[in-house]
Order: sequence, then C-alpha cells, then structure tokens
Amino acid sequence: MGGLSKKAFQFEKLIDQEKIPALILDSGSLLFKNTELSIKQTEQEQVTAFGIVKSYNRIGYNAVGIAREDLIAGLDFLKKISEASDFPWISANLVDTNTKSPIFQPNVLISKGSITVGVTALTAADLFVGFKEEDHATILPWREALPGVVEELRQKADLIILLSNLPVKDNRTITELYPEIDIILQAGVNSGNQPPQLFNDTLICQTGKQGKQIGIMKINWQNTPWGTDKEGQLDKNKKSLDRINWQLSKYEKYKDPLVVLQDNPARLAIYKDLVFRQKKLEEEINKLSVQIARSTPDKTPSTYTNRFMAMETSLPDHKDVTAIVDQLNEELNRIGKKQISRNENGTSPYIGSENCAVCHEYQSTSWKKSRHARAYETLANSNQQFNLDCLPCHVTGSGDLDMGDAVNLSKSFQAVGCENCHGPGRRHAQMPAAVSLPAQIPAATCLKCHTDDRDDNFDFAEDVRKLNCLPI
Amino acid sequence: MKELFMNKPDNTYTVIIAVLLTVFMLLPSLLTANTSGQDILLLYSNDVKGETAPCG
Repeated sequence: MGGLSKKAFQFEKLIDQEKIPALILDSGSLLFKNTELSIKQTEQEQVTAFGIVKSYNRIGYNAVGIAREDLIAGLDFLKKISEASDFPWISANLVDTNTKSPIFQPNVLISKGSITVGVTALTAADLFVGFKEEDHATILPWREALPGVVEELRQKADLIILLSNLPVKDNRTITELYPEIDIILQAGVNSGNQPPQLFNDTLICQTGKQGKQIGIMKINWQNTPWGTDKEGQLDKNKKSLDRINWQLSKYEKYKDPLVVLQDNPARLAIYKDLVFRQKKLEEEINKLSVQIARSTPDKTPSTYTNRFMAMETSLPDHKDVTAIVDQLNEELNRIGKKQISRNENGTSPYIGSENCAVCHEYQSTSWKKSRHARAYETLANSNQQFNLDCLPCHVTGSGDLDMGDAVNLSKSFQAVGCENCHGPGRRHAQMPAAVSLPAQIPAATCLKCHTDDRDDNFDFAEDVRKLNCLPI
Repeated sequence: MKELFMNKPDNTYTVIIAVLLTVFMLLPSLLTANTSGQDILLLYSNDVKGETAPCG
C-alpha cells in the first residue's frame, strides 16, 4: 500500500471530476522515515527527500508545513529542499535566534475562486535538538508565534488553515484561543485517519501515516462558522444533566457524601464521577447557550464533507510521478550497491537455507513454496535489490550482517531463509547435538519486518501455520 | 409611449427584448450569488515519512 504515484493519480482524477478550485496541502513530517538519520543511509535518505519534493512539485502541492521531523538532516538541508520546491515550506515559529523573524515563510495566501485562503504552520519544539550553533535558529513556543500570524491572516484571508505539528492537546487549546482558525490539519501525531471533528469553531483532522491514505474534503465556504446542530446538542446535554441531577438527588440524604461515604469507596467513586459529569455538562450547556445566542440564523453556515481514500496497490499510477520514483529507485540502488561493495567481508555466522535443507528436508520443501523464499526476487524485479531501506527484510540474516555479506555471498542468502526466524545456523550445523536453535519462534521476530506500516494483514498464528515448518 | 415605440426602427425592439430576456435569465443566479458560497476541494496528507513506493 502507499506510493506517491498513486496519490498523484487520484489527486489529478479528483480535481478533474469535481471541477472546483482545489487546494493541496501537506502538514509535514514528509521527508524522513525516522526521528534521526541513519548513519549508513544518510545519502539514501537525502536523495529520497529530493525525490519526494520533485513528485510534490509535479502533483502541484500549494504548501507544506515544516514538522520537527523534517529538520533532522539539518537546517541547511531543509533550505536546499525548499529551494528545490515549487511550493512554500511554512513555519510561523521556526525563527532566527537573534531577530526572532521566521526563517521560512510564516504563512501563505492562496486565491481559490472568489476567496483567499490563508495557510500557516507550527513546528513542534519538544525533543528537538538538531540545530547547530551557526544556524542561529530556534523553535518558538506556539503561544509566542501564533498571535501575530493569526491577526495578519484574519485581515487578509477568508478561510484560515493551520498545518500543525503540535500535540493534540495544544491543537485543542488553539481552537479555544483562536476561533479565527477554521481548519487544523495535524502531523506527527502518529495515529490513523482522524475525520474532521469540531472543537469550538475549528475542524481538526489528519490522515494515517506513510502516505497510505489521502484526505478529501469538499468545502462550501460561506465566510461563516461551520454549520452544526447546536440546538440538538444543547437539548441532549440538558436531558443528560436531568438524569445526573436525579441520580445525585439520592445522595442528598447524606449531609456530606464525601465524608459519609468514606467507608464505601465504590459508592464514593460513583458519587465523585457523577459530580464531575454534572460540572462538565453544566459548562457545556453554558457554552452552547452562548454560541446559540451569538449565532446569526439568517446566515448560511459553511459546510463540508470529508472522506479518506486508501492508496491500495491495485490503484493506477501517475505516469510522470512513476517516472520520478523509478528514477529515484535507480539512484538509491546505485548508492546502495556502492555502499555494499565497500562493506564486503568474509565470515558469517549464517550458512544459508540450502545448507539447512541437508538435514531439514521437509521444512525446506515447505519453505521453498513460501513467499519468504521469493522475498529477494520480488525486490530485484522492482529493481530495488540494493535499496538499503528495503533490503534488510528481503535477505537472510540482515540484522547481524553487513549488507555486502547478504548480497554478495551465496545465492541462498538472497531470500528470507530459515535463519531469519531460527537464528544463525553455522555453529548448529557444526555441532548439532551441542548447539540447538529454537524451533518455536516468538511473534516479536516476525514483527521486525511485518510491522503495521508494511503489513496491515499480518496474523502471527495464521501466517506461521501457513509456513508449515513443522517442528522436528 | 405608444408613439415613442412606434417611431423606433425594428432592430431597437429586438435589442430591448434581448436585454430583458438576458436580465430575466440571469436574475436567479444574481439573487443567489451571495448565498451559494465558494466550493473548494481540499486534498490533504501528512506523515508521509519518506515513503515513496512499497519495496517490492
């Protein structure tokens, strides 16, 4: 699942179908897989980042927010990326230490049809220590950076969108303090699709990670708040409050329930919960009443519909973006091959599945029919056999070996072999009675490669059964 | 009034009728222009995390 070329194809198709002005935004954490660069793969990761930008240029992105994860290759690298981008990289709080002025664009105004959309972004500051002293850069707390930007956008834009790399609780606080912001698109929260939810007057939403999903929101913007059934919600809350008040009335026989119920912790907990819910509902009712009183019923509310689309492997690819990704993969393969030949060395604790087959014939026959046996082949067929990002999960013993060993030694290493699950076999082959390997393997071994991101359908029990490697 | 119209050349009536027709045809959209709002298609993504295509 996933892929830039599939996303590009769907975006183009949707824009063509809907025939209304389209706005394409990414809220960040775009460029890198991990929260720090891998020493062995720095060159590959940086080349990939440029490939992504080239694809985004072709797709026609209007703006991308800077997440702290996009800064892990350094500020200079992101500046180079920004120069190669046809769209602005935005952050309102990534600023020069001395002047406190933003290093990248703090916001962008985009005309769409008859309205102007203002887009700004916030970068998360916590846990980020990636700046060099000569960068003269810092990430300001959002409370310092946001007021000025919102004030500017309020005057110039009809619709305001915040691309936020901040934690969920901060985004919700922002909706309370800045009702002018109409939509918050989240990044870096590390959860799945979140359909738009209205917090105060602001919609908050996000897609699942690793480009496996796209968000499609069709907006009818009326320069008014989002339409919701506030009266209905108020009525519902009042009925809930009535029920809680009735339950609490049973406790009125006690002069002071908190003291009287001290010997009965279960009932005390129920009482405390009821009081808490009563208070919350009263607050909600007051808030909704004020919102209803302030609302102007003669104005048509702004509305939206939202859906997510999974980028299934069966979906068509965009021709131009496929060409960009193919070119990128060739480049990654070239870099990987160069690196592998540098890392070549001789001895290995692994012996390869062909040697295991000498004694374990039944298991070997069964294994040869499995997808594990063809894991390297599938990689080679898509010309990614030297892509160091893919390789570890497609060869034998990748966890303990240099990639050079895995690729340049025997052909029997070019598969996910017996030793990937049962461990290195050389000593066992030399002294089978003295050195045994585990017949049963824990799920954790499989989950190193069959992660949620790569294999949503992985079912340990069922998939091990399919492998049919019966214990000896 | 009748004399005024009677003395006009034939194409004047054509123009007047065309203008009136145009106004009546545009009237509904002019009246609703302020309430139809602006439709926008917002396409969004996040946390791509260096993913370009599946491995193999």
